[in-house]
Amino acid sequence: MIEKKDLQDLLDFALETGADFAEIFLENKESATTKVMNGDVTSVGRNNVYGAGIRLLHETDEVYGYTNRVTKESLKELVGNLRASFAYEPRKAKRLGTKKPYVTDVKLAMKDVSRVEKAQKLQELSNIMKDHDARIVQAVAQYVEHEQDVLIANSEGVYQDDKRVYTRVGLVAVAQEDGRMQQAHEGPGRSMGFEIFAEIDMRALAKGVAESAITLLSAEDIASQVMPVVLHHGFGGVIFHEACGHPLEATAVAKGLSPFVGKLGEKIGSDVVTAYDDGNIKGAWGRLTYDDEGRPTQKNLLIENGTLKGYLIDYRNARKMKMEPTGSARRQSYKYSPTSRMNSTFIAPGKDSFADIIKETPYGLFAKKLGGGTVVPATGEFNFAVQEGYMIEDGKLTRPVRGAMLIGHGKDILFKIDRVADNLTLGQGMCGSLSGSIPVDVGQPTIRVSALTVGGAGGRK
Amino acid sequence: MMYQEWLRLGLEKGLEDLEIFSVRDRSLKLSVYEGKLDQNVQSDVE
Repeated sequence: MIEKKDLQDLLDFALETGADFAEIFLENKESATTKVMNGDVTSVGRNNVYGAGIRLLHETDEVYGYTNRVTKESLKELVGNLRASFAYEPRKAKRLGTKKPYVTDVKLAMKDVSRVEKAQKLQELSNIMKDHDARIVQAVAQYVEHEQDVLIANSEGVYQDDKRVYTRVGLVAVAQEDGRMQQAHEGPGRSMGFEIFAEIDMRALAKGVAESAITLLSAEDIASQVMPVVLHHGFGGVIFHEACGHPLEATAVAKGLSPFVGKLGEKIGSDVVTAYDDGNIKGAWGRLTYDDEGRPTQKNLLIENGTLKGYLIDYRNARKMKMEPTGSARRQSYKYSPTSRMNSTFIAPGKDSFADIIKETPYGLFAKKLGGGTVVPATGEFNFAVQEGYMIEDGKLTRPVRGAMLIGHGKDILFKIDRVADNLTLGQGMCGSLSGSIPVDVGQPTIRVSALTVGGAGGRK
Repeated sequence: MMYQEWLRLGLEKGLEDLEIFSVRDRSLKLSVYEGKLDQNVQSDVE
């Protein structure tokens, strides 16, 4: 790694042609994957990402460069190329400060547990799914682990390192009967090591995945209709993430490409909606001690009782918006310039119980698990597939339905949330955007949307 | 680069086949938003 004095020299050199901000991001990331299918280990992988990204700003103009040739000479060459974009009065970088401690709660790091032990855990989970029912034709268990060390130095005097450890288990079961095939999956992830197996009851999860796939075999196509939809907790929050979270990122707001531009302090949702993005939830998949600009992460209030309270803002967009950064700058790797992103975004718990929400819904759809979807960030229009859904009839969960597609608009759905339960959980995913693919939590308690368009292949109602 | 040495070591460890893929990529990406240069990204990765 490059010495502190060398980083200071590079920052000084960077500002000599008039850039008013320079930042160096150094990264060393080790990743490993193990995959088991139907009880057999089918692949193992190991990956190392090592390099440096350098960013220069003049007001809001940005030049960014990256290389994996991390020597003082090669970085100076890169800075030389970048600073040639500017021809203003020379500036001086502030003296680099002192690193503050970061938090890691990892008990069993990547190197502490053998490949064999990891594979055995996965084989057990794969076999639980496969043995659950003869109709399970494919049972995949996957283990993904990352250890990322970063160091950020900038011309404002920030000099900060951070260590991020992420571990995720993927479970997929495919069921087949009479030519019909259905799939279910779970993907729990945490900011921790191999102790994730002690934290989460993976056996129960594997059994649940297999059971979901079997249940879906007997599900009927749902009829297209506008109806109340109860979105279950955890990954149900992906709709809020996509349709409301992304439009609250400064990346969209600063360019005017968001339905929430200029709405701070205004009502954008019903009174029962309060939402946060928190970058520092202990053990959470989306957690960092410091963001990728070296700022401490924090709990950002986005919406309070339906009123828009804040955006997620990185340093460059803070300049554009004339607001303060919120510790929300993230990037996949040194190959990406950082920008505003979510960490763990969730709707806060309400006062209703899950049972009461179902009981007090005469007719509707219960979306227990959501699958993939798409969203137009500029407008918040979305469509999401329901992976596992059930009809609600006379206040009771009745038959399973398949093929349901939820179609709506982020800013409309916020006003139509009329019930919020007290059972908040987070679900894990990888979020792709301008600065690459990053681990994030989405989350919510069980909520009810009073009316939502549901598409399906079972005719029209 | 020590490709020959790495191949020898891998085969000695019992691998049947071993492939090393190496690339050097230099790139320049410019993006313009509403008539103004929005991003200028230069890279050199080996």
